[in-house]
Amino acid sequence: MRPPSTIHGTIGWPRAACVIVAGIASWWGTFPALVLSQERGPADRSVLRDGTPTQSDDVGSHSEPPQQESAISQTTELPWELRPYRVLVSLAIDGSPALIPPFGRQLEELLRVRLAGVLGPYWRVEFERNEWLLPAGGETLARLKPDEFANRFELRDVDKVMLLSLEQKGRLRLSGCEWDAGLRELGAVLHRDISDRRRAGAVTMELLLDLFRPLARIDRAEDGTAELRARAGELLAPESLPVLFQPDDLLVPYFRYLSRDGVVRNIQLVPWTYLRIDGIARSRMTGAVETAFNAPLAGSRRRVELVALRVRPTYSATRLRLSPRNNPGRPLVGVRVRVYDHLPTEEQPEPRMIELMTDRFGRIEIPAASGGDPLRRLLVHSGGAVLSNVPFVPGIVPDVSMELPDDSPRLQAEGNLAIVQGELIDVVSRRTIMLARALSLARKDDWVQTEALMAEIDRQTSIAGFKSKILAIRVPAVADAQRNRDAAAEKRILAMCRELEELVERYLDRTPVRDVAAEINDLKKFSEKSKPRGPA
Amino acid sequence: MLRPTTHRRKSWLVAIGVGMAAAFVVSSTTAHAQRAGEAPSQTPNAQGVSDPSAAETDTQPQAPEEQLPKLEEMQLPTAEQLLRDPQMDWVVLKRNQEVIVAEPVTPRPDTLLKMQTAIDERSKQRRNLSGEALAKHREELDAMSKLRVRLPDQAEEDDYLLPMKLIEQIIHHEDLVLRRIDELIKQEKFDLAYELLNILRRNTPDWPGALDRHNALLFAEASRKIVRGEYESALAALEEVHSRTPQYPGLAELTGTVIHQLVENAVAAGDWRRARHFHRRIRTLFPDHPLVGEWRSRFNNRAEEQLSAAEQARAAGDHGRALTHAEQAASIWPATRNLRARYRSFADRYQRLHVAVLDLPVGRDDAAIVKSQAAERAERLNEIRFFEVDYADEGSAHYNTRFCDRWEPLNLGREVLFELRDSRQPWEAQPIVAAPVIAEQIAARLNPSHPAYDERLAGYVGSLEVHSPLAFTLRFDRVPVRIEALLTIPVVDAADEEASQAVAAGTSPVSVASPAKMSGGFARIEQSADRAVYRRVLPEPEDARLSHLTELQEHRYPDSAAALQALLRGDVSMLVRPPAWIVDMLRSDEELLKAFFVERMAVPITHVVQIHPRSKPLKNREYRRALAYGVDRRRILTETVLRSGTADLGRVVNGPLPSRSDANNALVQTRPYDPLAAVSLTLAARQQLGGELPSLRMVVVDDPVVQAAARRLVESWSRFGITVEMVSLPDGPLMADRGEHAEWDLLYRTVQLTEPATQLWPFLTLTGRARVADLDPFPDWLRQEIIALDLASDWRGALQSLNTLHLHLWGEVMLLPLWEVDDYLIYRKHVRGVPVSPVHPYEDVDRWVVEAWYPEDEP
Repeated sequence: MRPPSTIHGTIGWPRAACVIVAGIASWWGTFPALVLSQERGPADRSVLRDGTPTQSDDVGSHSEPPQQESAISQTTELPWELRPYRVLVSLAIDGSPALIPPFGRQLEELLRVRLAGVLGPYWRVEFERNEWLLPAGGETLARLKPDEFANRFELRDVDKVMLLSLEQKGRLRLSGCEWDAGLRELGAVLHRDISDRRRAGAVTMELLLDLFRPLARIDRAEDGTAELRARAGELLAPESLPVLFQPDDLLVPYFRYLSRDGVVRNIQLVPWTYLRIDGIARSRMTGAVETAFNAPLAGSRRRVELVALRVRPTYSATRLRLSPRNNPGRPLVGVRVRVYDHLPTEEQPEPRMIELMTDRFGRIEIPAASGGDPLRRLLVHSGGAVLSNVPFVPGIVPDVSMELPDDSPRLQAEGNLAIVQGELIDVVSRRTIMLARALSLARKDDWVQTEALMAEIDRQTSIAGFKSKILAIRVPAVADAQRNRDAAAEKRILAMCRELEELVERYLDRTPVRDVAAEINDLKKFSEKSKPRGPA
Repeated sequence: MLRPTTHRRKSWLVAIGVGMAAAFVVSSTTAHAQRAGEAPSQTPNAQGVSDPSAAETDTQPQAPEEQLPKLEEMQLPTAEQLLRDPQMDWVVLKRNQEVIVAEPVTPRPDTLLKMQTAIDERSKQRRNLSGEALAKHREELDAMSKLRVRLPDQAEEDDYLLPMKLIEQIIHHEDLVLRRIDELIKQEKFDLAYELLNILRRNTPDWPGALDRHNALLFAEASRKIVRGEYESALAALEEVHSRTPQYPGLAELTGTVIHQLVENAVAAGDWRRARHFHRRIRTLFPDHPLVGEWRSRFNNRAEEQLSAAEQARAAGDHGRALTHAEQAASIWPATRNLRARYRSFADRYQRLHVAVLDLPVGRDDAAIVKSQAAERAERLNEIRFFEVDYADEGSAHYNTRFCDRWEPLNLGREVLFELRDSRQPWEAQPIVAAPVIAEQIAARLNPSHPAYDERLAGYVGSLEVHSPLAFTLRFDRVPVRIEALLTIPVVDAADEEASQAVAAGTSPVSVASPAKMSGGFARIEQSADRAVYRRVLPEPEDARLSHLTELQEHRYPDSAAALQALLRGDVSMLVRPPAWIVDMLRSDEELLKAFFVERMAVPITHVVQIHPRSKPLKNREYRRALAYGVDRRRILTETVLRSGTADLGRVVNGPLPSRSDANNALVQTRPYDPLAAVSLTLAARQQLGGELPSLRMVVVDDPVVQAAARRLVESWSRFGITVEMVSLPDGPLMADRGEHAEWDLLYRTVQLTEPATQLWPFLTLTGRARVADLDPFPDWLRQEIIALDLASDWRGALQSLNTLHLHLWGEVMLLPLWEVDDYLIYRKHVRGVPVSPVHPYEDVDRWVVEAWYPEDEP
């Protein structure tokens, strides 16, 4: 499988000043303390599109050596669907006089009670007063990077860290984000305004539920469908709670590569792939795989875990940056991208679509869906070719990048062929009129003009001339494509050249010229015969 | 004695009565000897018309049936008769003043006198003649004493001979015409009188009395025009009389009346040149006329009054008003005593330049894409840019800046340190500008939310750092091909009121907290329908040793001919963007070249028809190609644009770039005028567009030459069935948004691309900026080629991209390049400091020196 592009997704960094960690749900001795070995970069969650996950242990050769992981042996003690989430709620409160320490304590107590009541065993919550987020607030929270979470919490036995900040900005403002320890994924920063302090507990509770992104394990994936198991899916009865998976929820899959010792060596997002839940039976779920690839999740894997994280758009738009695969630093400027609600179907052959073009920095801003299905289809065009056709949910992350094959040789060839095609039009049009005129002159017995015209027709650029021009375009273009190791571009160049050659052969076929020449000859003979003969 | 002329006599000559019958001899010269004894038998009627019924019936002499009319009974022929009927003379006989109406007799005029003179001359030769010679001599004298007369309808008969002694006088046809003219003058029917007189003078220029009648006619007509208040026409008529008969009675008095009125009117209108013109005319016609002295004195006094007012204004420190009074004095009476020296004292201190233009700026629209010439000139005067093109050659521009002591690329061009000047020359139009001011301008262009956001600049610049009030550094993420081209941003704006006030208050120019833009340049201080006045914002010091141009006045003229006239007579000293035929005329006139500089501008004006990228009909390639092949560009260029014999002032081009530019692709060949191709492509396009060619709308910029050429283009295309309607520039944006209907299909404009590498993109997108989104309507491959040009990191790569673009724009007929015309600047030699081969008409305008000069020629 050769994926069409590479993605580097950047999650919005929290901006805040101080944090109070408010609790850890529980410590399960059986739960594996996931110590992830390495991510590709602190700011990026990225998966090389070309580097499709393999079953080899060597996947992610760029990873650093795995770190020591504790309690590995305990990871399998509880089944996945019975394994609760260990959640650390870290609450940071700014130094405003209005937010006195008792307020924090009261809030913590309130949350503890409510969470226990609502989620029961689903979450093992632990609370912590955050003293390191300075100044405490949404802006500081937004500036935080996944690495900072990893550095602070990787040795803690938690699955999720809910970092909350409370600040007095005229009114109370609550901000929060979720960090998934297993995937080292940082979620979006969400904000809530609290107009009535008495509702602080309720609002915080709502925010916590909104921040939470449940996990599922992919047991099987083939033929465009997948079977999944929701973590702790068997622990929570009330299915209407938003923390649980719902039908039509979208999940993004990740590969977790483990060492022989069960230590996570690498985590890799499966790019441009989404799972859409279409059936839920307690912890068991089925879903459709929306992907740009043939079978991104298929195959047996040793020491590879396939986990999916529920995603919901939280940003108003996602900025997509396009760059050539062979030079990622250079932006792809002026590239046309079409964002479809869905691909054309028989029922709806022309679905709603917005057309965008990358700016000088190779970026486009794709607005999130305002309602309904958030999944979009994203087609990157280059001239007559589609460089990429991927599913995409805008609004999950603020920035995403996509690497594409360098299509410039093919595009250049397309431009050059357009010029040759223009010449062909001139020649064909002129030849048609000249033939008609020659015939007309022949009928008037103007043989001098007729022959001159026929001679001029013969002087027009011939099929061979045009083919030679096409050859002059094809050879360097194909060479460039080969240099870029872009077989698709090479194929397209050859196809374009072939199409034009066919046009040349069809329209510059000598048959009409021969027919007219024959008719002119007949007319000439007839004319000579009908001339009165002089005395012998 | 009457003698028959032929057997078949159709006419007779009069029955003059009993005694006259013998005397009135008519004979044919040829039949005289053969047919003696026969007499005319036909009687002419009163008009001298023979009666044909009498013909053939009577060959014997007989008594007349009616009398000849008497002179007093004769009716003067009407003008219509004189013009329409055959010419007739009246032969008045001595007997009873009877009149024979006959065809024109010869010799004429003074027929009898000339005949008598001839007889007298011949008589002198009688001496020493005898015998047969004497008889022959007498016979000749006898023949000479007879007037050859031909009656009106005497067709085939020989002439009659009438003895001179019977003739009292001959009133010729011309005399009849003159008599009729006299009547017509009395009736004030001048047109008819002129018609008669013109025919008379054309046929017989020296006819006695014709000149007098002409004078009388002109005089009468002048009198009538005076009554009607048509003084100039009256003067023309009187001058004509004067040219024929200077001493014509009453001419001087009447001319004086007319001239006095004309001068009075001109003075009342403030048109002193016109007043002097009429004064000169009376002086030329009648040097001793009292009006000559009277008006000279009045002119002189008025001029002295103006000079006094000028002195007062100068004393009050108002040098502009002082010069206005001095100019007025020079206009009133250039011959005022010591005027040249007095005028110079005003004109040197406050230098004013008058420029002839065909358009004036309307408001100020910085966002306009296709700017009028007036707007471009105004912009150049109002604004001073950080970098400006000061020289252009072979497609590449050379930049200069007034604000920097030096600018130095560092780190392989990735950053540039700008060190600003901390002083300025007193004559310079720009103030001292601090680094924060320029940095703020640049920063605004880097801010996506600012209206001045420049996507291209933002794409290059990584950071901007101000080190000191006079130094800042620009760091580039990508190294641009031409840093200067990116920084042609306005730094000084004369229209910035806040800045102007700061200047006036003395708080500017040097201040870190100075306004966004500094004030400088030339501000437009006055604008009317036919004049715009620009004045230097930062005045030169009072004690400056040498002053420079302070004020520039643009005067609008309705057409180039009027502008040229104003230039030649000294009303203005400069003519910008003259049409080729004026340039050709001036270049070839050595006398004019002594007075004027005819300076060729650095960049020619390229005429091009742009195709709206969203035009639906013109998405059809065949249609575009038909347009390209269906125009005889060379012919339109020669006949309509250049209108001159020399072809070196313009040439057909293959692209929007100057033909000398290295950016042109050598592989591009001139697309010929090919009617056959145009016809065939039109047919193909029609077939593809559903059987009918959609008509097109062509926006044409408001320029007389462009409009005329556009009409020729439309006419040319119509021959191939392509209908193109000419429309004016739309008020709103030129380009429609995606999905909107394109309001026009073609745009005929003129361009001067000094720096194709940076200007081609905005030119093609018609948005005035290099924004990627504006490339949306172009095909992907073309869009990428334009972007590749912009991303080029070295000049060689940029040239390669330009070459490719040129070839592809031409090949795909994305626009219709027409021709380029050399641009010129014509100015009097008293204007100094204009650079050689300038890029813009007002280049370095603050350094210009306008020496004192005023027209002293007789108007």
